[in-house]
Amino acid sequence: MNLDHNIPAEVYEEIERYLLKSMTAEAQQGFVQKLANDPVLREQVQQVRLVIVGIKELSIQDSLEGFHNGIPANTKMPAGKLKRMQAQRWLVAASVIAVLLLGGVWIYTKKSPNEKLFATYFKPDPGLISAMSSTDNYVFDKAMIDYKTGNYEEAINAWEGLLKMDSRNDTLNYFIGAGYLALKNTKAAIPYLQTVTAMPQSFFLKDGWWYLGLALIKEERLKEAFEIINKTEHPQKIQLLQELNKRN
Amino acid sequence: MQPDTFDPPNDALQQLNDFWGNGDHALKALYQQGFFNVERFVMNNKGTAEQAKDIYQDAFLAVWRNVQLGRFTPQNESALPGYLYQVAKNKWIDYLRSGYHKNTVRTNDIEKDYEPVDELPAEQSDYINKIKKGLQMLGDNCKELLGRYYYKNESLRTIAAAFNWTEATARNNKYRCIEKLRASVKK
Repeated sequence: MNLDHNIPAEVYEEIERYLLKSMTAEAQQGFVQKLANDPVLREQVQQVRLVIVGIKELSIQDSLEGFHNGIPANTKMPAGKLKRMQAQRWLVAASVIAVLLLGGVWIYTKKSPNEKLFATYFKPDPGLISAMSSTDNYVFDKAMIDYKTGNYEEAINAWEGLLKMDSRNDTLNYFIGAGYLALKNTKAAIPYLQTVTAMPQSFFLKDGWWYLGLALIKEERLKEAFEIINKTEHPQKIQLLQELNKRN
Repeated sequence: MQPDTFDPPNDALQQLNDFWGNGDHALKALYQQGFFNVERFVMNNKGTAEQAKDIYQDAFLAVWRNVQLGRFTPQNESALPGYLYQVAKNKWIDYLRSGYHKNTVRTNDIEKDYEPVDELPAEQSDYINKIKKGLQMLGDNCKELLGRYYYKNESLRTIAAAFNWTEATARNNKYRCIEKLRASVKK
């Protein structure tokens, strides 16, 4: 199905009236007849429909945290039970965390200023919604769940497998790069992010610039980083450029 | 798998309104009603509360999307929460089957809980994801304008008043935002 049709304004509005059910019965009947005979129009209807669903879904997505925070306490798992279920794994986790924290403090104090700058500004990309584990993108979706739950190595392995079949895929390149960055492996991340940012039409171009810039900072390539960060529209762009200026 | 339909959208909000009131309130009720069972399922099967929340939110959006696109039509009041629970369970089982866990977790015991559900073609699912990502990058004005029009069902007159525009300007701006959004998705 072609989802890249150029749809003139008047056609778009007619499709929208049809989808939003704001046509007269007579107009709707006429439109349905046109649809039956026009395969391009059918694709355009589906395209507009997906656009509208995407817009609405983002509004709902933005509301989910509020929904979650409003869950009454008595509909969540009772705290006692939750604690019992988690007690054992917490005991194990706590000891691991303690070791990691001690190590982390030591490592942090050993970090270079640029590594600290990277750590201050870097937040992993939150990932994409993995919708319904369909057959076609099952591997991608499964890897996305891994990515979102912090199993970055697994996600990268799966996506690198897919990339062999489609090496110029910007989504794969972007998320493999994002995965390596989340693992703080900036050397490995950079080539993938460079592939994305070499595609001016890529959907991930702006985010790609931001993450590539951060990776370059950690690799002490500050001049290149400045130029790349300067291309982004990230809300922290100015603040970071000022920090870089202080270092140059 | 259901074929694509070209009928007007199966409006999830409208269907939810029939069950639980209206708009956000209905979605919130559905969300809050269903979480406990999913949390329990995930935590009884090697997961954490945080993972339960992530899986549940993914499932919630997937269900909403499928209802919108006519891939699932609830036939009665309990159908939608049941479907949501099934989708969330499937997602968690998919996760447990994944490479990272397949050697450490026995999934045989919960395989019986897996029931395939109708799925949206990957191409369309990807397109919606890109629309969402594109909208986030378009800026606050477009996001607010389009959200008010399509999600809150506000009229162009109401939107024009909120932005201090004429109605014609609101219509033009809406179309421009849509064009920018669609352009951002093209490769």
